[in-house]
Amino acid sequence: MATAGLTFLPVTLPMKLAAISELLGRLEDTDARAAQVVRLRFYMGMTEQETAATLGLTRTIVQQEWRWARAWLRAELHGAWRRNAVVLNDSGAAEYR
Amino acid sequence: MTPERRNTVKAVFSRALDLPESERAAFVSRSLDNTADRAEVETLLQWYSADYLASPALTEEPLESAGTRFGPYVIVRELGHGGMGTVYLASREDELAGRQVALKVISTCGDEHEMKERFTSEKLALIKLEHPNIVSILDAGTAPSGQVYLVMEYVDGVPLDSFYRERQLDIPARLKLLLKVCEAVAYAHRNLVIHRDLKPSNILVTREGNPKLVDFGISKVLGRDTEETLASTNRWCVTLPGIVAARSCTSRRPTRS
Repeated sequence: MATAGLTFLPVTLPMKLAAISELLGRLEDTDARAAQVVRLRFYMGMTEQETAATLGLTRTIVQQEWRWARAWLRAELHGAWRRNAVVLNDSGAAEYR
Repeated sequence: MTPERRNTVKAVFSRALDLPESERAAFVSRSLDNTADRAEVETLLQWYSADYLASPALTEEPLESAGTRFGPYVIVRELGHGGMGTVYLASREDELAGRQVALKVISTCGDEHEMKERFTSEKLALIKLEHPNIVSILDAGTAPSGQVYLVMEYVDGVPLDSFYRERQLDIPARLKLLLKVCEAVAYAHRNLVIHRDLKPSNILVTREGNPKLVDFGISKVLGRDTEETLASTNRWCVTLPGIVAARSCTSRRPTRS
């Protein structure tokens, strides 16, 4: 499908996960603790409490890191795609902006 | 940025999220002196979404939702979950509409090929068994998604132990019920099929007090390819201690009844 001279590729869940994984690598460099919380909560499926126990943090800190990291990832993901005039909506579908 | 300052920024961000949206901006400018920190928090507050990435990347095997079709069958609701897969209450949507069946969707989280083979032997085992106290197989098929499913008679009943408790049956009544179970098991054994996972939850009792043996998931059709079958008998010794007869895991032949 082509719109305004751009070709759209369907954005699949694996593509979205790959993008998140790449961004997580960047987060790791600047903010290791936030990246760690994302790994345990998003990839391992741990609860807030389990993550806190695993990392030896309080639940408040885990919640802070989790909220921060998800907002950061979403901002980065959309920002990265906007440079190509395409953004991903939260379900992973490409939207023309 | 020092780790302490970083933590302060994150704490302000998190606390702002707990406030009503109208109060967030004022709270952030009150709490942070640094312009860059404020800008970062304000940007991230815009991007934050409570449900973004909120569920894990890989979740449990998704359950079929009501309305999903498997051939002529439509899922009504989940009935239960076993080692082989999930069982749903389903009904037909063709000329036989309204007929309710138990539809078992094979779990593919293990080795798909092997699971499919096991499904086939379950099917064979059940086809060979026609007994009023053994749940009969009606149909089997493969969905367009590749999932294998088995359609069985739907039994609206409760597990044997619950039935005993609910009806407060005395010992003679319990034994009378158990005799029917034994007759069904003996019938299966005469046909060289062993259940291998007999336990109260696999014996459903209908309202009329009729026991029905369900879930021949790991039973094997003995007599065909015997060596292979006996080898796998040891491999698949996955039942509850205290319920299954020890010899069903160790002996070379099933008990003759």
